Parts: sequence; C-alpha cells; structure tokens
Amino acid sequence: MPREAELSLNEREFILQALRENTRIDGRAFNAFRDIELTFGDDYGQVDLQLGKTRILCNISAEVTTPFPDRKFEGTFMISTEFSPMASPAFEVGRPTTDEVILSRILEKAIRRSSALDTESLCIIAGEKCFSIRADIHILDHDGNLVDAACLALVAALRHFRRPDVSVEGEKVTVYSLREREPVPLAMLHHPLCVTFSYFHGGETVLLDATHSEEQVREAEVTVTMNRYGEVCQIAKYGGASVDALALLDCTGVAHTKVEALDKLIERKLQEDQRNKDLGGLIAELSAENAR
Amino acid sequence: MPAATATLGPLCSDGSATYTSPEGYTITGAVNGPIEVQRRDELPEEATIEVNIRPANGVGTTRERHLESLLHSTLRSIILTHTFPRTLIQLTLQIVSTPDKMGYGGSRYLNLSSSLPLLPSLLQTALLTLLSGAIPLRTTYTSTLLAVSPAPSPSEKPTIHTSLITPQCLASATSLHVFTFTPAGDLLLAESEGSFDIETWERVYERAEAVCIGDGEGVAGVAGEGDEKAGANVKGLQGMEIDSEEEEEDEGGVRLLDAGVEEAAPAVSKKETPQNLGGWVKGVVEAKVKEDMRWKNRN
Repeated sequence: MPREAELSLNEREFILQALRENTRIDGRAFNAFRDIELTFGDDYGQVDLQLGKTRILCNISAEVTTPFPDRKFEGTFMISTEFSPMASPAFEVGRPTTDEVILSRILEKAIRRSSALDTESLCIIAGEKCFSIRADIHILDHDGNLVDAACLALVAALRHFRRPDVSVEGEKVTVYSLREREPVPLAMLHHPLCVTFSYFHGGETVLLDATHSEEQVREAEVTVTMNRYGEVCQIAKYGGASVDALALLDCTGVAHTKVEALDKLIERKLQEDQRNKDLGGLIAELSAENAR
Repeated sequence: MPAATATLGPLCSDGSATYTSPEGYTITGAVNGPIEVQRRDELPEEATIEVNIRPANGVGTTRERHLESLLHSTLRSIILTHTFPRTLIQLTLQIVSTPDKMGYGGSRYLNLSSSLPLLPSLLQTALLTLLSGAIPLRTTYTSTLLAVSPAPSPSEKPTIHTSLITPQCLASATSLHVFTFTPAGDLLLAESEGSFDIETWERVYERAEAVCIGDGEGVAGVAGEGDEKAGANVKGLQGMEIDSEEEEEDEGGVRLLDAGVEEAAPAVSKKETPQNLGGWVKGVVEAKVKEDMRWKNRN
C-alpha cells in the first residue's frame, strides 16, 4: 500500500508557528472540539458520528452463544476496530497499523476494563447460554482524533442498542424477536468518554481534538478517559515527549468539563431519537421495566 | 414505492457515494485511484482493481469474497484499465444497513440468507462511486434484482416481481435473478439462484431489460443515446465527460462540457421522473454536477 502523504516541512513549520501565535489553522480555540454530528440509524445500536471531517460508523449486534468456561456467569462483549482503505489508502485489509492497535487498546481499556457494560446481565443460563455483544467500529473518514470520536460513537451506540428480550422456563429459553416483545436496553454501569490532549513546543501548547495534520506535528499525546462524575478510568500516554505531572492534573479538570458536555450531547440526541421512534406514545406501555 | 436515493461525494476519498435501495440496503462506497500498487499485485499492462466489501456486523466471510469476485470481474470490463498500467484502483464498499429480516423467519428460508439481493445495490454503489471519483469508464451500467414466485394456478406462468422485493417476497420465491445491462443493451452480468426453466429465464431477462434500460416506448431517447455512446467510448455518459487528468476545481470529478450544460438541462426537464434505472443514475449525476457547477451558471 502507498504510504500516507506526509506533511511538507513548510506545512509543519506553518502549523507550529501559527500555534506559537495562539492560532489554529482552522481558527478554533485551543480547547474547542470540532462540530459533532451524531445520527442514529433506524435499527437499534447504529450510530453515524461526524467530528469535523472524521466520520465513524458504529454498529452493535447481539447473538446467543455459550459463555467462556472460566466465566460462567458472564456474557461476552467484543469491540472490533478494523480500518479499511475507505478512510485512507494507507490502511491495508488484514494488516493492522499501529494506529489501529492503539485505538483498539484504548477502547478496550476505556469501555471493557472499566466495566462500563455489565456483562453479568448478559447471562441467560449460567455456563450454558449468554448474549454475545459485538461492536463494530468502521472508520469512514479519517481526519484526526479517532480515539475520542470512536469512544463517543461506541458509548452512544451502546446506550442506543436494545437486545432481544428472553424468557427462561427451566432449561428452555425463548428469544423474542423485535416484533414479539419490546427489546431491552443494555445494563450500563457508567458512560466513560475519552478526551485526547496533544502537546506541542515541549508541552507549552496543549490542544484538544487535533486534526490529522496537527496530529502529524505533535510531540506527545495523552488520552484521559473519565465519566461525567469525574471518575478517571484511564490516563494513557504511549511514548512521545515527557509531560509535567502537574500539567496532567489540569488535564483531568479540562477533560471533566468536556466529558460532561459530550455526555449531555449524547443524552439529548438519545431523547430526540426516542421521541421520533415513539409514534403515538406507545413505547411506555410496551416496556416491562420497573420504576426505580 | 420508496425511491432509491443516492449522495455523491460524502467522504474525503477520491470518489465516494452513498446509495439506499428501495428495499432498504444502504451502502457507502469509496474509491482511491489510480494510486501506487504493491509489487506483488502490479500488472504491467493495466491497472489492478481491488474490491473490498465490508459487512455492517462482523468480519467478511466467503459470502463477501464471492460478491467481491463478481464485482471485480464486472468492473474490470468497465474500467479503462489499460490507460493506467502499473497502478491500483481501490474500491471499498461498506454495508451500512440491511433491511430487517428477523421478523420474517430469519435464516429459515434459504433465499433470505442468499447474497444475491445485495448484489444490485453493491453494483449500483460501485458505479456511482467510480463516477464520483472520475475513474474513466468504458460505459455505465444498471443492475436489478428479480424474484420469481410460483404460479397462482398450474395453467398460468410463474409471477415475476421486479420492484421492491420485500423479505416476504424473497421467502416465497422459487428463484432469484440479478441482471446488469449497459445502456447499449449489452448484458454484463447474469446471476441466478434457485430452480427455473429456460423459458422463465428468458421472460425474466426481458423484464430486467425493461427495468434497466427501458422498454423502447417512453424511454426511447435513452436507448438511442446509449447506442451513440457505445461508439464514442471514453466520451461516455450522455453529454458529460469524465476527465481525470483535469485538475478539478471542486470535489467530484464528473464535469459537464460547456456545450453539455445546454444539452443536459432540457434533458432533465423532458423526463422529470426517470422511467428506468439508467435515467435515475443519470439524474443523480446531473444533480451533483449542477450543484458543483452552480458558480459557473451564475453569470
């Protein structure tokens, strides 16, 4: 595959010089995200996220399988982030680039290991049957900050997804189709979101939501994952220039305000979608959920 | 009947298109090319074509590989590969959503798990993507799916369904057929599945031809133009020119000739509702060109 076109020396210098003069090439403030457009598909668990020119499609699917023998009481949850040549010709099918590996690791830690999804609730019969949830993340367009965008899309999709309802009578399990019974939302314990900080000029300049060209000239990046209550799930820093420890504390503060705003956005979009789907106000009657 | 919709150029790649079929298949396609090719895939006399089909959920299986091989052989005869030796034209088709089949018995019926219903949408997306990417083509094409269900009584002939093939219709069908035609009326691809006799196949062929390139009545103009075009080869696409060498001013590569602006404009008003699929494709491309060229018509 052809290598991605690198920025020329002039372009690099231009971006860095502009940053030194407190200007980003797209005119945003240093701690501003690009415009976010979050659209839900007709099916449950289908999200199309646009962050500036970055575009990510996330699809959630569920099927009934046998649980792992060492984890009899838990369902399985898998995140697949396979890059396709659609985003950039530099991505080759079946040969993961370092970006892809890092993205899947960060998402793994942010969502799976922070137990955002309660896998125990996916168990149907211990040791015999459980739900297997699969999240497919497709990168349609790549203009930087894939980590934050993918995490946002994934959390939105998980919150939007509904799994089929089941009933158990002894050993007999009935899985109801979407037409037979109102499907059930996934049990999520919290909603972690990622915010990536990019460092320039030896840590003097800190940017949020870097574009692809900014990513190519940055010296270091730090990804902070936290939920809206300010609980830090991970701080990831894979190499790059060193960053002052006290500066990291500031990062978590900034990340908290950003995560709160992003969480509100998802919440608002979910409510909008629910209102659009709820024709004639019948959803409330169909639901069997207990009031809490 | 819900109409098919398409958007040209939604992504940043060289060419891209999103297509939603009346049945509810949504596919996004992107093409990059001509780009550098890997040594092992390099062909000394023509461009290498790579087709990747990615399902909405899970990883590609033999089903996707089979569809890829069908698309590859079709596109290889369409794209002017000889103009770009030792390069790569890379087409990626991402299936975004497929109609819900679970409510109709899911995989209980063989037809519902067949790969054929997806094929026309993939072909149509591929064409729009290539047009958006200004990849030089020998001709355009249109593709359709037909389902044959058993005759209501033994004395009658089996019923052929042409438009809006619902999952119920698929489940009851005895055979499925996909046909692809060029505007000149040449058959590019014919795939069939299920049991049928040659007489049925011939009837299906005629119906498919009518759907794709018109029945010669209300849409005679299109067929006529198509004939002209086949001779003109690269010139292609009825009053439009596909030009990849040109430095493009905007995104999207299909460009109207100066004379073509006047020619194409009355053509749209003449057939406001396209009678066949060929007319529909033309309408989509014209709308995009019009949008991209609005700066030009202003003065």
